[in-house]
Amino acid sequence: MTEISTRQFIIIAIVLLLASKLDTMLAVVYSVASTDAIISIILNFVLELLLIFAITVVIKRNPDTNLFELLKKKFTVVGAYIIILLLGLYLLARLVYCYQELYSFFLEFLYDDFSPYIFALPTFFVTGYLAFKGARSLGRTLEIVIWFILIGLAISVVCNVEYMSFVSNMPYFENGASPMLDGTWRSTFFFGNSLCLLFFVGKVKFSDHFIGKTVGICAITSLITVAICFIIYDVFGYAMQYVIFALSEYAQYDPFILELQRLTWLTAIVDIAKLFCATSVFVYGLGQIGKSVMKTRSTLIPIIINFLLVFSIATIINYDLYTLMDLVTSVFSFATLGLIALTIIICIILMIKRRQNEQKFIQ
Amino acid sequence: MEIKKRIEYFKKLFSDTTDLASREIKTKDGDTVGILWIENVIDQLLLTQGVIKPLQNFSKSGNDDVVKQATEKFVAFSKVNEPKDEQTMIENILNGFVAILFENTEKVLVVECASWKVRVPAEPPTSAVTEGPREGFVEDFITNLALIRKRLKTPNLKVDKMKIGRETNSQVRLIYLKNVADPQIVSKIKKKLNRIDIDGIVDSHYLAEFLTTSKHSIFKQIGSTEKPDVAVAKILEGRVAILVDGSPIVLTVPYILLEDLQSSNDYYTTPARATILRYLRLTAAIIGIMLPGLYVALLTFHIKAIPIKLLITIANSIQGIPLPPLLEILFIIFLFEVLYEASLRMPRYMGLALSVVGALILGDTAVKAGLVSSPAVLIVAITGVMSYTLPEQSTQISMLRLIFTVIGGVLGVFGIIVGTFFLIGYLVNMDSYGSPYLAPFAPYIKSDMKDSLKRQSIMQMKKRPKSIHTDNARRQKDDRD
Repeated sequence: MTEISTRQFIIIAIVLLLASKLDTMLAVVYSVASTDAIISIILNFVLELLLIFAITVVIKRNPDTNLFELLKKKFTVVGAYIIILLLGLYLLARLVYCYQELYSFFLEFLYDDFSPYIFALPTFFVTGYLAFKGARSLGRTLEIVIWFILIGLAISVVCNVEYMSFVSNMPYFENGASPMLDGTWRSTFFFGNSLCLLFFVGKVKFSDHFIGKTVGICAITSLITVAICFIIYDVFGYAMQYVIFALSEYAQYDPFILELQRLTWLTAIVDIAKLFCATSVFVYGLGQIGKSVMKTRSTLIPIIINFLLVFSIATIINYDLYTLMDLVTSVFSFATLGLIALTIIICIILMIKRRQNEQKFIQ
Repeated sequence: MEIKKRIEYFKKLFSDTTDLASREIKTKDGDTVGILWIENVIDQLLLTQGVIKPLQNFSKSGNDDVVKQATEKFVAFSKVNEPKDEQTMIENILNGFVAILFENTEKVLVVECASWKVRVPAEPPTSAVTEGPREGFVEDFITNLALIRKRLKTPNLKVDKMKIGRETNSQVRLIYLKNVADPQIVSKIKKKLNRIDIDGIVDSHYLAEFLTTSKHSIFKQIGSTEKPDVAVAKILEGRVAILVDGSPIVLTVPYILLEDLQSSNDYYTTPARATILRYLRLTAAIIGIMLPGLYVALLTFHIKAIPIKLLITIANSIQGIPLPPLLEILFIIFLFEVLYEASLRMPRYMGLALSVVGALILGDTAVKAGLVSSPAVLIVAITGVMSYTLPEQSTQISMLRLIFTVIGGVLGVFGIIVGTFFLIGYLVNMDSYGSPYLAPFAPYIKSDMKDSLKRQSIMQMKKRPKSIHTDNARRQKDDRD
């Protein structure tokens, strides 16, 4: 049953593209790739766009089935479970990171002291509510919230453009291509968000040129995001590796704005909205996985279990964002790179199998 | 049965009520005829001149049916009939008919002489316009129906009759355009109304509660209007209007949130002006909901976010206030709501005194006494005024204001963001008879954006809103047709 329109699907894709990219990711990539960070980001965006393209083709070609059914049909039940669980692990890691990012952000910018329990309950409740209500609810909510995010982002960025200097990112390839490649694969974790789009298989009402529109708009969003990353890198220069919440600290960089203090608030709200939306989509994906695996009618129990897992992991790592960032640049990014490659291969197999079936039918 | 005994019998059926009047009349032939009616609901002059006098002059000719001959006597009346059973006759008497009982026959004749006391259609106090029609609905549903008919002179206008309430027997009318309204929506409404088994409905708001889909929601789910032009505009868009006898409020279904952002005045002014006004209303509503919560959140958790000059002013004002910001704002909101409730119920001549008490004693003196600060009073006053830019949503706005104040005071800006997310998520899930509550924003409906926050020229609105399911989308002839 179709639940979301093409427009809503594209908005979800935009939110996933933006999530985390303008915050901790910039510092993580810069710490590895230094001045070549922007090239690493471009390469990762190309990879994510490729992923989006592959997923949209699969969605377009399979309008009447959900992801789990589709995987079961093409890769047997065992294969489907393995793929779904791998996706689930990624989403869980991503959810933990998003949740931790959001909490650290509050602690850094908005509160002197903020209990993780007080943070957890409302966050889990609202993101869980949106995810529990399903794709339709998620799509419609994001349809409204996206405007706040985009307008806030535009204002935040435009106000500080005058402080950028084109030289602080130079020179590129100072130490050959290896820092750039290192930066690319050590930050892939942030570029796997679009894997979540797989959970919208069979739920999108297509408009004309569905694939073209989706990929085109995502490409434009990626270009704009790269441009913002470029501006931020230029403003901060070598200090970038110490800037954890890039967008918000970027707003604080301007002495005039700092005096006003209002822009930091605007960017803070944009950041929170962005992370909230992305978290809801991740929870939705995890809910769908739980529903398929546990064979429950509703996603309520899987969502609650996921929250308990996230809360436990966050407590184990003692709510330390730096521990997570270390994991991201090593294990998580390797695993994500593998998962993205695997997903693209799966999508290609699904396309080929479908084409073979169509040819058989014609014969 | 003798006429006297039959009259006694009917009086018993009416529980010997004293306002059921009766009389026996001798006809020209010397036969006795009995008449029964409810006092005060019929036109006395019509009764004497139109019923009693012709009956006195009545004489039978031949062996024809006496009731049939009498019917011909009352040809000048619009409604004369023979009720098929006792129950129908009772209902007719209750609705302002005079019942005529004849000798030697069980048959009865009823003649309509009703004369209900009806208020003259006047401008409703809640929907005043600077330009445009000033007529408003009244408590009589026949007058209300006539006000709609006056504006919709088409055979496609369908009026379905219903009666609800075991004791009140209230007349209910479903009005819609047969060629426009979605039959599924009409039948769904009919089904819901038919299922109602209640002793009585006093006003259309009783029905509104039966028609809502989310029973525990604080949000309005059924449209209401006191103006015939608004009701007609909604019927033309494909909605169903519901009239209830005794109520000046006409209900309209389906309902979407945008409806209250639009005012009938918007269509009697230029599109640009209407657009500005709609943005103004939306901004005022958002400020009305959020401002006290934000104020409390900033003062409690994020004092650094307040600009330094403003912070100094606020700090000077709140010095020595015994209550924390949250309780202070809640206290003023409580006072504001109490004053509002009192002003609604207090006799009008006491209004001035209440204003003095409210503005001077409670406001000024409380500030001077150091119980509350002037910024807090100002914020509650501003938000109070702003919530009335959308008068039909004011109750929802004041409830949300309270909720956001508490959330802001307990969780700070985080709470307000979380609350906003939840509010949006909740509203997008609401649905009124197939119409999404936040349409045309979520889901985005491009064609309906022509009359959303922005109002385009009526010439450009060639189609009916897609958010309302209709059988006929076209309103105007397209140039391309």
